[in-house]
Amino acid sequence: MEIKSLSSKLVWPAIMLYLMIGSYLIYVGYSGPLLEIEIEKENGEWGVTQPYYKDWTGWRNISPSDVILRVDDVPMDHLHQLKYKSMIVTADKITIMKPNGEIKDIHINHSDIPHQFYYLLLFPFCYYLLTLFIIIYIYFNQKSIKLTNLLIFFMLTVSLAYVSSGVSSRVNGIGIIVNRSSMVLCLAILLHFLRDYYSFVKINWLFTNNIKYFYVFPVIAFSLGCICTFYPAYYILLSDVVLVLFFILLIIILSILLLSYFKYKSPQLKVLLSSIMIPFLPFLFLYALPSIFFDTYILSGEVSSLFLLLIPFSFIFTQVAERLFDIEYHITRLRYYGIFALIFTLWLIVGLYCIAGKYLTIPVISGVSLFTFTSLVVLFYIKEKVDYRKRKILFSTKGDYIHQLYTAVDRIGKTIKIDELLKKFAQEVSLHLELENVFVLTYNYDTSQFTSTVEGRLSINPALIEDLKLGEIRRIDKVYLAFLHQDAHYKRALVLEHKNSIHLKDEELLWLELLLLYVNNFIENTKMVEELLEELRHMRQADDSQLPWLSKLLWLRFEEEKYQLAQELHDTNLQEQLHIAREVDVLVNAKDTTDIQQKLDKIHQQMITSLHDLRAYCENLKPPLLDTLGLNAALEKLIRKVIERASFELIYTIDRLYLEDERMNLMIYRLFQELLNNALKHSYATTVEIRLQEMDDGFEIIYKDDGLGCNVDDITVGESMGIQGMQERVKAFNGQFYIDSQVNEGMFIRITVKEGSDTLDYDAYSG
Amino acid sequence: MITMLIVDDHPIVLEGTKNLFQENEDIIVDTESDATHVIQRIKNKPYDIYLIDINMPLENGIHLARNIKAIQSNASIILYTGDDITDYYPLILERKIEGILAKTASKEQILRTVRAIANGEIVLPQNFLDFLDNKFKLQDAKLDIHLNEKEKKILRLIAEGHTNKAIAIELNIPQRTTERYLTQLFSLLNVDSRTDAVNLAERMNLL
Repeated sequence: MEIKSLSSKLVWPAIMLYLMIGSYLIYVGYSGPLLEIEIEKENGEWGVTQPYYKDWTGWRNISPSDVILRVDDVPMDHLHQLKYKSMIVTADKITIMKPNGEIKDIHINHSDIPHQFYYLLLFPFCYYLLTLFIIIYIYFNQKSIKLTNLLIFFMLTVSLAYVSSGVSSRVNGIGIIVNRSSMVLCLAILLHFLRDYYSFVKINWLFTNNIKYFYVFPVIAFSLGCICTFYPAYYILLSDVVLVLFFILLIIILSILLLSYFKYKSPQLKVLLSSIMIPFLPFLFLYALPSIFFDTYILSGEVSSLFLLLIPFSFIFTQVAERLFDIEYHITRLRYYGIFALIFTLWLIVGLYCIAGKYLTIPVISGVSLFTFTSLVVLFYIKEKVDYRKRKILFSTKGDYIHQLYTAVDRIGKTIKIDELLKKFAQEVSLHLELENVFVLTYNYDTSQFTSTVEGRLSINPALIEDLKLGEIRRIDKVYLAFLHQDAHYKRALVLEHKNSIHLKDEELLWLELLLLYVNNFIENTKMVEELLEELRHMRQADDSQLPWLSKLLWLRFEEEKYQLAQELHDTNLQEQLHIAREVDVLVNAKDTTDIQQKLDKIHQQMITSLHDLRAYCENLKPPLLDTLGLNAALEKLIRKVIERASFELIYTIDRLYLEDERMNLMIYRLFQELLNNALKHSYATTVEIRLQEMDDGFEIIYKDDGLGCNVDDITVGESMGIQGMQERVKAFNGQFYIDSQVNEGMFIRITVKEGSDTLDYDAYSG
Repeated sequence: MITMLIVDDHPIVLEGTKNLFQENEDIIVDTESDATHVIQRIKNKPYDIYLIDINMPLENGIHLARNIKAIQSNASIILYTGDDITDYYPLILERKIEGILAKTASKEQILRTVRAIANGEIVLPQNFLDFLDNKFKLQDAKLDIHLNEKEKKILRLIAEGHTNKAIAIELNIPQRTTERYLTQLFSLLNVDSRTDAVNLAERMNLL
């Protein structure tokens, strides 16, 4: 901020200084033509060796044998110019003595050397004025942005360096000082400008951030210039030192640009680099290379180096049109329309020529083509405007906006909280539109207060927010205000601070509009997700409170089972064993041992019977064969046993299953057991069908009987026939239990269980 | 001279069974209460006959029988169980065992069975014939084995020479489960090895 205000304060003084120095330099340049006649002192007399400007018309009046007496009525030995170099640099009048003793005055006018007049006076003057106008234009149009100010300084110093170059060759003291210092200063400013521009377009600056140290260079150049004025003898040496400084800075700048271009390849850098490189091309290809290889040139050095002066202007594009990227956009669009227009024009003209070639003169045809071409281009632009108004279609260079939209939506879409969503959205917009202050403003209807994602920026009139309609983007003096979302309690708007300096282009507005639409939906959905999450949390809490109840129930169930088991064992097997023990005891104490064999045999039979009962009991608790011969054998045994006892006909099919979870086998067995036991006990059916069928990733059990059936509602309410238990077991394995039955109409049950991640989930809970 | 190893996890049964043979000097009896030790033990000293309980916690008798036969093909195995012995009749037909005895069987029955089997004969209760009747009735009904898709897939993978691990990866199941599937499939086809399974499948055009 400090630097910003400092630099903006400096603009006017700088322009003043520019005016003063510039006027002086131009005056000096105008005051006398530049001659640069090399002279030599021989035997105390000054003679001419070589002129710089061979086309000087006055040259024919002087021959190498002439002696120069006075320049501008100053005797040669007192001539100030000669302290720097042995050369008559500038003069209005030269007095010479011909070998025959004739003394002759030669008057020199600018018009005598038109070439020099153009390059050293007229062009610099034009450039001087042009720079002045452009700078004033930029200054008034762009407000005071630090970058703009740096650009203004840069252009001023380049212009001064150019204007002063002629004067410094005239060995004018001020000219030399101004030329040396501005030459180096302009590069230092350029370096500074580039650093700030990089941070503006968010490219990594590869060089040191301490740019201020580079301002030492121009200070050195300045002092060297001063020294030079007082000690003319060091003129050549000191000017070489300044040139070295100049080249150091130039190399630094070029290498930064090249390096960062090859590293980041961003379009901004491309334009920047080409705006510096292209002006060098005429100098290189039209002058430097031809004169090195062919000893001739296509364009003289002076003319080709004029192109270098375009460099500062090309930088204007970085500022005047907001961003370099936009330039590329405009150029691509123009090229696109231009090619279409050109092709059609060619087609039309060829047709026209074929049909009416006889009647048309060349000027008419070219006039028609020009007219057609321009009309077409204009038509395209109009069409684009109309399209945008009516259908929101825009020319796009590379589909960048669509792509940006995709990525932005993608990135925003990953959030699950509204606050987070709004913050991300603002970030995306800020990143893409390259605006610094973008934030979301939330207006709370209940409290009539604003909250925002960024602290301390609440300068919007509430009425404005309330006024904003769905999908609207409004430009208000310092900000863009975009409607985002509205519900019963809040109204949200996106605020983009532009400070009057940035206009959003149509396609940017369209991009923003679309994104706003998406975000509006996102907010709705996110709210729903938040609500659902909240609901889930409640359910989870409810679950937690249920668990102790569940484990208590389970524990009670287990205890009950154990109690029943003990009771049954006690009633049956234990009694039998007690009986056997008593019988054996009788035998042991018997005195009559005659029929003891027979009695023992009887006891043995009793024991065998008791053992069979016990085994049946064990088999009921732990299904036999399941572990040893597998599910199919176990089921077949079960079915055999049922058939032995059943009064109905049992039809069955058992597929071979390959189940991942071995515990499923037990469940299937238990389901069969339960279903068949029900059939035996309650169904009174004449035929019962039971099937185990393989399915993809699971199995299906189908049970069908033609017995009494029952009312399904009674089953689900009461705990009759263990069907409820089956349902629970199936549910525990994430299966489906379907039952269909009517009184006197038999019963149909279908159980399907799928293996998959669900059962693993179940394991996780149970484990 | 008959050598015999009795394997049972219940010490009382082990002791009682051994006692049955005390008076018979032509039968030499050793006992083992841990099924998992058997294989290591018989590598050094094989027996003629093995009397094995079925329900043992660490390794069940049927499994052990298969393992014994794998390293000692001439071993004779008698299962000795408290379960209903008729359930295990199929094992005799499949030549996985030579005999089966209920734990409630009399001393006479046991001695007779052991001796007969040592002589290369088979002693079985009469209801074995019922089992055979049923078996052939069923076999008539499903004379050719229809493999389901999963079984065909596993067989194909075996035929292509995949390892258990590769099959596990192919079917996306744990390796242990794969082994269980293979066991189940082999017992269905009544084969003992992958090669047999593939040969049988080719012979019967199951694939």
